[in-house]
Amino acid sequence: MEAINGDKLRGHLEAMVLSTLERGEAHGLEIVRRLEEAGCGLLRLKEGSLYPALYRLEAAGEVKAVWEPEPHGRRGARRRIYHLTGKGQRKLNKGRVEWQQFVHVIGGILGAPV
Amino acid sequence: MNESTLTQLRILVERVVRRVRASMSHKLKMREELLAHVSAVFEEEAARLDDEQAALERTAQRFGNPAELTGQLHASVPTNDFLQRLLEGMALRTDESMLRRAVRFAVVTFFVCAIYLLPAFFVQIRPTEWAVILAFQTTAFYFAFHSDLMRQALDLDGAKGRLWRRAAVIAASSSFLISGVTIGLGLTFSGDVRSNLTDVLPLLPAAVLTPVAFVVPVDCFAAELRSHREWMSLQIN
Repeated sequence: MEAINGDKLRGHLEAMVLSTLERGEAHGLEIVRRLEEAGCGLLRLKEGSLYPALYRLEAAGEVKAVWEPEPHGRRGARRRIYHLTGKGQRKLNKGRVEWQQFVHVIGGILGAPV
Repeated sequence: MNESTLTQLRILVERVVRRVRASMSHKLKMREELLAHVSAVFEEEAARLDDEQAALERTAQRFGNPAELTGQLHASVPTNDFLQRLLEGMALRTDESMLRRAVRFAVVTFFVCAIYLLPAFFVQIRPTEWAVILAFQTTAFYFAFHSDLMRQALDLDGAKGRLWRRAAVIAASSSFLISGVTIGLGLTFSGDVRSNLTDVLPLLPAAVLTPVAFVVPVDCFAAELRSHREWMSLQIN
């Protein structure tokens, strides 16, 4: 099966990030790991792209972030720990419904119903 | 991880962040978080590949194309960050002399006060109070210049070492700010030196606290400015 790269992920990344945070709070690298794990190794995400998505979600109030108190082994650099907010949870639920409708409609057009 | 590797990772981050149009504090947040990310990725790759150079290359590859990431980060900057960037651009420029900064503060204060106060003075037929604008302007110049002098004296940039005697002289001279400006302002209205001096006496306790007002804002931004300068000094090309 062909890998899913950045172009195909565009527009879905934010919902996928919200989905990973539903499993519990996480820092950026942990979110990448969860996405890769959920994507069965077929997801090819440029890791830097995750952060603009996180900043957008944070600005929209859909995630909240706190700095970890101490840097662990990375001199002077702390990670930010993200968690899902109520607004983010509602956005995720809405995103799931929209995705199901999208897959249903496009699947029907392509002659490959789910 | 050695110092050279850490510098390479910082350069990797700075290539992405430097051209993002955002406030200093927003960029520092991005820099720290992205540095934490690439450092963790590097450690992971170094353990897997057992070769630091290969690990650095792999880290850069995983991180993504710097130009694309710059564009994405720029698009993620909240609209309200514009105001902070504007204020920082006015107050915290790193590439100008103390005198120039002080003059710039004075000029901006003059125009802002003139726009807001002059119409009110003319409407209320109090044109003789124009000196208030000069008082604000003088205070802005004095404040900007003395804040910079105080920052240097207390070595908040961490470059040389604290010069306590100089700091004491600046603190003492800044104590005259409130009383000096008040006397000057009073003289333009009445011209009576004695009554003006009497008016200034209740202000003296506040005048003693003036040096604190110079140190606190300077100290608040010192760490951010220092960190910003360190990042900006990296050669990214």
